Amino acid sequence: MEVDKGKGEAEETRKVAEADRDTVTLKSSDGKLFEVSKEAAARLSTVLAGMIAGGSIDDNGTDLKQIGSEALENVVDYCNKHANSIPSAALISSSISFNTAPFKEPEEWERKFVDRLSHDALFDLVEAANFLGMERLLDVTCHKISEMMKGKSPDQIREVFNIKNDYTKEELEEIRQELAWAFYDD
Amino acid sequence: MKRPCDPDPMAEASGEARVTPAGAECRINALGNDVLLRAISFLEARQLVQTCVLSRRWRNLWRSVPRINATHHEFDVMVDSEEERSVRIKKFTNALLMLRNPVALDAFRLSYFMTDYQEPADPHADREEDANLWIHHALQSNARNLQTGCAALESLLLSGCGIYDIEISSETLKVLAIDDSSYFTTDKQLSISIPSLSYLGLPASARMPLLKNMGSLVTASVSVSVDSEGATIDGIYQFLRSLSVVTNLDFNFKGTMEIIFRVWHALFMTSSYTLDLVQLKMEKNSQWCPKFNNLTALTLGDCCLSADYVLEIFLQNCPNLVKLTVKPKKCNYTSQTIISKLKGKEGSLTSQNIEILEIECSEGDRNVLEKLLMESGITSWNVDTEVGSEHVHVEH
Repeated sequence: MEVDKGKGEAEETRKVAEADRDTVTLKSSDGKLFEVSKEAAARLSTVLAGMIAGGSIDDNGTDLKQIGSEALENVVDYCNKHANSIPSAALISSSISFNTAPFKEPEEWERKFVDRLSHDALFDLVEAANFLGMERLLDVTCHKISEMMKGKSPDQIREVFNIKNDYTKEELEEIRQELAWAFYDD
Repeated sequence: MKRPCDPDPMAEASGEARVTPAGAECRINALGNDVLLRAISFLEARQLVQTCVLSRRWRNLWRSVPRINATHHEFDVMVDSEEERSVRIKKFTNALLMLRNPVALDAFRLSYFMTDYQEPADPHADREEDANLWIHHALQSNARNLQTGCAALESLLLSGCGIYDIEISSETLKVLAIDDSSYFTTDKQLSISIPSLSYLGLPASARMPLLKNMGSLVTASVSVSVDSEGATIDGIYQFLRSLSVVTNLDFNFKGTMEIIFRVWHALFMTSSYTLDLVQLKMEKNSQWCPKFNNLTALTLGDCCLSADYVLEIFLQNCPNLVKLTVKPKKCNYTSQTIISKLKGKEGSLTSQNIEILEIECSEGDRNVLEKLLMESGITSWNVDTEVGSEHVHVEH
């Protein structure tokens, strides 16, 4: 009990120290450290916001074992760019209903941000955004995926994403008949 | 649920050609359902449904997307005629909504038009009814979603719609806006019951809708038409009463020209015309206007001000008003009369709590207005020329 109490006090002191800093340090699965503005992290990620509020942020680098260094670098980069690009008025209104507001088309810089990513980097970032509860980044990356599908035939989509067609010909025929209203094969 | 990238013995047995190069990772199929649904919900509706053929993993995903984006563009190709296209759009949308899983819709965008020209016997003359069925589905989807606890449809904007529904209800809708280009059925009263609603925008209609459960309402933008047969003092009172919790009200009052005509008709024609004019009754008593105790911002549109008692009665019933905006542009209502109404019987603006007075006025009115403001004891105001309106900050 005594030991626990002592530990609790140390934790308290560390929390205070943490509260004084305006950045948080994040540690990727491969041990690399990244600094990100505390304000941006809390605003853009529900998970980081929860960790900051709950005092579970580690000064020496909060372990994010699920996220590789390349993806985490992109996450941090996105947070910084986001902080710099949004006018303050929009920021205020967006923070009110960030999760409930209807989807807004990606902005120019957000498009560029995801366009430069390799196929694997894009999917790593989708997974990182999902893990960290970053609604906007998840929307922007998911939107990018949809654009990679848009206007393409099923064969072309399978090729882009390496999707294996595991249907039999008979099954495919059955689906096309069942959903003829979407295919116009009637 | 089938595992995404597992080799399927059935496919191998049938000798199906492999599209995926051996060894290449399939990143998209490794995503969780929620994330995958989020991605494909950005697709337009037809392509969304067609993702079912990609692989078994995808077979039923389209049924659970939280967003539907159905536009006529997807049907522009491969049809020979306008008629064929509209048949396909209807068939498609009906099937999509019928076969999708009962999951909540965050957003439902339905964009289509059909030619105005319709033969009387045209089977598609019921096109608005179809759209209404679809909207009904959208609203129902939120009601269900309340039970499942997911996010819900929160905004519904209707533009240019014929609304034949007699009841609009939802447990989750926050914004309902019906614009001026929409029109209502005339034989039945529309009933709107949305306890979660915070914004309501309604155009003038022949019969004022019955509003129920408006307890969450913050902002309303409504028009009242006194020309129509259905308008009564009591009806206007009931309608405004259901809005009386709002803090922001944008009120338009339609029908003045018609009233002038009827008065003229009644006075100068020796017919047995019954002078049963709602507007005249409204002028004589203030029973049509309930107390708006929460109201802090009031905007009165063009036509309200040609019936200047509207302003006076509203001021009596809005004790906590802080900002008043009047838009007298199209009427022969001058800044002078606004100020005189504001001064009221006590002869001072200070009888109200009004801090900001916004008057949209023409350039020529400004000098007159400034003189009047000075005479009223107002010492400070800002002139915003860019928006062509006068912002007056009243100092007590």
